[in-house]
Amino acid sequence: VTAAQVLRRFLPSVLVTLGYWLKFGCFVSPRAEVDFTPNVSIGRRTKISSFCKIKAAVGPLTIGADTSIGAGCFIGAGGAATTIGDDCLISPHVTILASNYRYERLDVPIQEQGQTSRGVRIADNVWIGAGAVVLDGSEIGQGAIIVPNSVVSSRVPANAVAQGNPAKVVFTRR
Amino acid sequence: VNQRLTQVLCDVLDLDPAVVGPNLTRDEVDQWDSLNHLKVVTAVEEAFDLKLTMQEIESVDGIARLIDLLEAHDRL
Repeated sequence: VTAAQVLRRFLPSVLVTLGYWLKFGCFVSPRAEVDFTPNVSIGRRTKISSFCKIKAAVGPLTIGADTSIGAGCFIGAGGAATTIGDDCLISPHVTILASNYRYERLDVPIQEQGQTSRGVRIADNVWIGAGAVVLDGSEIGQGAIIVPNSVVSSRVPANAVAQGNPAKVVFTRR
Repeated sequence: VNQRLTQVLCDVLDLDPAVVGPNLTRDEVDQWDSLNHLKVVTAVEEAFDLKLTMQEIESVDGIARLIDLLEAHDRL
């Protein structure tokens, strides 16, 4: 059991809210569950809404300034860096997963084979629609828009509007 | 309506070619929502090799306006 896991369970959420406000000047809802670890860095005025769960026990998670993370989002940072830029709009129930389980062996349960992580990079001013999933190794360029319920698994160029599973560019903003 | 334009609209919006006429508007096509609008524009741009501005894209309220824009860009 790691210190981060103990803190996640027993540190009162109001103290987490206060801690993040004093440390970064950001607002973490007392109804959110955000790991309080030095791995997490959040920019000023960024808001993390109720019922979000943000896990960053094993790797760095950087969230920029003036970003808004909607209710019910899940962000699981892996070993590699996960970054979210400034001015991003992350809609409710978006899932960002920065790790994958290994599954090379058939004789060992998947959960015992360890994990891989390439990290997730989300640039500035990105709008991710409700319910979208951003998988490990994804890179979303500046000004891109992800349509609700899409699944991003690779690279989305800057200013693109991407939709589907896997998300494909349907339009480029101009 | 130009055959290529009809084909593009039918492909993107899943329309019957018989209903595609110069008077068809966005409001009359249920599936012509904001997202499909962007898909229509991208498909038209690819088919006719042109690039519209954001104002032009927003001004498209039906097929008549699309034809106007294509004519204005010498693509019809």
